[in-house]
Amino acid sequence: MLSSKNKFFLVHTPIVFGGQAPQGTNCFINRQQTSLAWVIGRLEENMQLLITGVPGMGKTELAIQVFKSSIDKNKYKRYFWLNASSELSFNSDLLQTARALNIAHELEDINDIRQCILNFLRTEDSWLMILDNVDDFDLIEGFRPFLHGQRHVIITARRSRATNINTCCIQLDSMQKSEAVELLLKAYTYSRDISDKEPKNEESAGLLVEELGLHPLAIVQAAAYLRANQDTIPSYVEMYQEKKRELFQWKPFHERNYVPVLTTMILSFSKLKKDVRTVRLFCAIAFLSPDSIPQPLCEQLICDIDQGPGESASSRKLSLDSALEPLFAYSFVKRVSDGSISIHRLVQYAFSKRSWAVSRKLANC
Amino acid sequence: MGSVKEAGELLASLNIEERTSEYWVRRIVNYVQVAYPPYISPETWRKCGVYNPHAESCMRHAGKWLIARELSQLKRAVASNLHSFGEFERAKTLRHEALDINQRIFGFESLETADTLTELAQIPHCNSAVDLLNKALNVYGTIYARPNSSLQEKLKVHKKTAIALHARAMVYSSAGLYSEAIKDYELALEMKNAIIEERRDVNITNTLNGLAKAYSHQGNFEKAEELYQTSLSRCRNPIAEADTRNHMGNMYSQCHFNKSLQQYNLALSIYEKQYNANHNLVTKPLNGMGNVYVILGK
Repeated sequence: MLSSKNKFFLVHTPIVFGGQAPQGTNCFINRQQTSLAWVIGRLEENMQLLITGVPGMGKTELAIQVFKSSIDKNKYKRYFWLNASSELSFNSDLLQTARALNIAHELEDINDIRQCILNFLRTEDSWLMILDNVDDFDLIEGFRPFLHGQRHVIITARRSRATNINTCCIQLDSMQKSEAVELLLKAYTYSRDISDKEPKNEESAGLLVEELGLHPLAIVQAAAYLRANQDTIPSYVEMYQEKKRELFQWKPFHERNYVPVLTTMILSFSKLKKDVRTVRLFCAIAFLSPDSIPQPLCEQLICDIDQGPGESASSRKLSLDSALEPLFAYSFVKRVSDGSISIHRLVQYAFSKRSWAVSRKLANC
Repeated sequence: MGSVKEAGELLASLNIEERTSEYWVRRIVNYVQVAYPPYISPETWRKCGVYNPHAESCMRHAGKWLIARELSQLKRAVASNLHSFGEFERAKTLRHEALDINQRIFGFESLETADTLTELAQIPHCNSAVDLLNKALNVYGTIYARPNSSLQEKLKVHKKTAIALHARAMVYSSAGLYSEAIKDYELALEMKNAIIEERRDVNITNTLNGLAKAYSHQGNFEKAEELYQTSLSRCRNPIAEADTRNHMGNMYSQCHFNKSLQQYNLALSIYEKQYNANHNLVTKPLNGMGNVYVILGK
């Protein structure tokens, strides 16, 4: 029987149009300079916000939090999440939107479909739209909804330059030290029963987050390692420093922003390597689009990796879950609400850039 | 050197072949190709949307080095999806790439190559459409004539030939060459009628409507009307009926205004019933009705 809480959830969960909105983290930290309330205030004031920053700084996460908070408060009548990381993704999400709203025939020109959606948005007075991961602003050039009152748009993008979008811009940089420490400890103790009993070593946590360049994604990965291995922070700091030195010896990095994430990833890899099925699955996922990797595709991958027929749906799911477990534990992948899997694009990028390069180098030795 | 090994050791547990990115790209292309819907319809359309970003990622990683049947199939399937929502330039590029792969793997006289030629010719404003379709029709003819072809293979080729003829008729019709268009439409119709019992996926109404339109352009309204009536009797879904009635409205708008308005109204009511009032298909009969009222001075 449904609890009253669940009934409320079923009744009030709105339909999100477009693509699948990513799942937010359980360790969200309300930053001082860009607190959720402040961001929502800027959105209400300007109707359109551009959130920028280098990868892994939490742009999408901040957009998710605004989205979730608005849904929880039943603030808007309609919600749209459009993945604008590529033309194909964006057009697919627009088509899904048009179809769900029943305003355009699916076999129609995409420009007509865009126009149909814009026309529809003009007739609606209360909606929130997220345009996530806009790397190429030309993509959304012809898609400018008319904003007025409660019609709000949030754009997330790596950089604000090369855009002529005249809007309020929020630049997300590294966290402040106190916020970074809070994130590390929150992510470290998340889902652990001993969280209250365990002394929180804020001093060593401070040292670690500084080593990690106050980079949110690297901090989450380090916390995942510590949690999975029940390791201590000072011991991790030592390993991290050593590994970082090794990486610099091998090849100096031009893209300094990736160093903390790459180093934390490599430390986690050394633990992951024992599970060959997981490694194989990770290798395969690395070549897919990072967002919403469908569960049936993942099941097919693992069936093939296991070289078994995977006869029943439940056996396929069990097999997939066991292979995914270490990837979840080390915070490499996340599950989206519809059961699909997503991987942070920086993790995917760092893996592709590093692992195959090392492999090729070794093969040539 | 030791540190390099250690740094790359995630892959160390895999066998030599698996330690290359090329190995995984090949496999991923296979998986995504199998999962991607092979044809576009309202039923498969959502799934295409889900798999599009992954197909795009696969194709980007495969670059130009991977020559595989699965990659060609994936490119063709994605191109059909792009074509269906008007992304013709990208669809054209993908079809050219698929054609290149098919010619290398299967040769020039293969079904895969001929099918890709037909698809390429269907890109709007394709200058060499007739040449491409002629080549495809020649290949189909050669394959059909092979003595060792099974009945199923012959049926398959028969259907593909009808599709290519229909496509060529459309090219002729849009160029104002109605006599040539009528010949091809009639041949395509004859072929489709011959296999409709065995192949239920054959679309008869689009050829009947195309043929009727060509006759009406020639001024043979009687024949056109008869064909439209046949088309109506063979419609399998309401949208096909609405499309046919909209075509009839267009034909009658040249002289029989009341009949034209009647057909547009019928088309409009079906579209509105199937979709909602804001749907862009609704604008088709509405625009047609508007034009008729302008002629009537209303």
